[in-house]
Amino acid sequence: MNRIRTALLGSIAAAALAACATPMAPPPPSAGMPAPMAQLAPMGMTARPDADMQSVLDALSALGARPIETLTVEQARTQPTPTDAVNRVKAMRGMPTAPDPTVVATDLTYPTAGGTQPVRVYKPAGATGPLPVVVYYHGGGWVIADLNVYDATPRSIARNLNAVVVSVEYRHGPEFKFPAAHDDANNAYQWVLANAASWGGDPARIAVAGESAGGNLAMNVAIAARDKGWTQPRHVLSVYPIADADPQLPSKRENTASLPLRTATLGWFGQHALRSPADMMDPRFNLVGANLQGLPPVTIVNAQIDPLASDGETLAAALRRAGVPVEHQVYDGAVHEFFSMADAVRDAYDAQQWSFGRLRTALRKVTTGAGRGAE
Amino acid sequence: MKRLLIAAAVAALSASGAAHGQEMYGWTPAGTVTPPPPAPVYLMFAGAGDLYEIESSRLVLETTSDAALRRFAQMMVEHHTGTTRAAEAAAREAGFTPAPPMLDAPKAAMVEALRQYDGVERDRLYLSQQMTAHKEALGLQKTYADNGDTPELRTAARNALPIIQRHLAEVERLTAR
Repeated sequence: MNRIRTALLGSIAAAALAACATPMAPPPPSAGMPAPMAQLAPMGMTARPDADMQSVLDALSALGARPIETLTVEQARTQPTPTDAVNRVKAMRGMPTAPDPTVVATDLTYPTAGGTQPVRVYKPAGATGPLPVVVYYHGGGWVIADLNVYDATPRSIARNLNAVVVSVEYRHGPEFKFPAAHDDANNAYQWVLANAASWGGDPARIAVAGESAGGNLAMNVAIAARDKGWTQPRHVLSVYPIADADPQLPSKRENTASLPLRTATLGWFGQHALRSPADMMDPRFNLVGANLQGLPPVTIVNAQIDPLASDGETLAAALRRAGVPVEHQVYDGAVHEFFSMADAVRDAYDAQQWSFGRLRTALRKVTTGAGRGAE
Repeated sequence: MKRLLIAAAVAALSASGAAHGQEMYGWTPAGTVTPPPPAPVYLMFAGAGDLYEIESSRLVLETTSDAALRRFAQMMVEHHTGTTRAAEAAAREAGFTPAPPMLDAPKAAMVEALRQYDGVERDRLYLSQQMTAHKEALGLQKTYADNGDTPELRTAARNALPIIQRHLAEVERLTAR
């Protein structure tokens, strides 16, 4: 199911269904249904995952992953990841599982909070000339996951945009609670501005991107850059961000049994990442309550079957109210974490092509306001 | 999309009464089916659920080396064969001729997914499917036991409830090992 729900600039009610051309064939349907019959929706999910999405979820279960909120922090950090599931699916399909070798990765560190944290700098092999720069923040609810789990997306950005991509590690809860990750994200951004030229990057052509908790961090870095007078990112790509503290949003009421993220998982992340529930009302967590005026254009990607789907919707609305150019797409039949799975899940391929196209336009080497909205 | 389908289904049901061709049934926050399905639809959903249990459990019995899981899978084959027979008997008692149980597309896909895995991976996927399948089965039987339109089938649904609850508890126990 490659239908995409699109809500463009200002048109809250607009819901255009578009059938997509298919350069990448989805897997064959697993079984035919003999005749039209009444259907029962899946329990605790906004919709049923598409077949290729479901095959990744099946692999995740087969590998032994369990709902995160049933685990200890240590178990959640070490259990099989969606990335492992994608590799399992690729292996079953006879596809290579090694990272794309046309992008070279170098591990470095940046200073923060009296110590250092890792970063991984991705650059297309043999790329020359000053390249645009994208600072990328991984997901994991500020508690789990790392640069390795989220290798695919920054690597794909580097290849697709011919850009230097810096994937940022930051301190996690419960060892370091909110706003430690946010402080690190800002320090990393400033460090990249100062050092990008040494890797062949052009710090004037910079954007920020992130997934989930990292989508929240990317938004916050843009806000900090505006407030503190740093070089502003030209664009923010925020993929299923944590952005709205309201527990009653429709997607949080609907996705009580979805995987790999369900409403209860958000509570588990909050419990380990935040100092107290009061932090949920901090505008860095509750972005819809932040001052969003004067931010660069924002691209928001959401999965339909995700408790955070409504966060993307309310964040897009808040950005529009603040006069910030924003485009938002919801991928039907996709689940949280789908975005990085472009090799295995058709919606992920489409979402990357769409959102990377917007990033590419924003980072074009054109003077005065390139990429500010026009597309 | 789903909401639209349900709305359309509700509208179609209230307009044309008995049409149960292609409606989409959803879930309430309490985990019951909405709208409550009429007898033929209930029989179809319950039959598909039982058949999934039987086919998936047979697949696991072919490959598992987990003794506890084997006992569970054998119990699933027996119990769900029994609940299908009971529902069919109740349906005939109420004057229906129930169609033979058939997997719907999602349940056929679940069985097919199990075939893709072997050994402990199949065991794990089976258990994760069982958790979902039994929660849905519990919701379906509860809905019909409380709101069903045919007394004989309401009794069959009530009788199925404790069986499914025991299965769910066993799935939770096996998963937590």
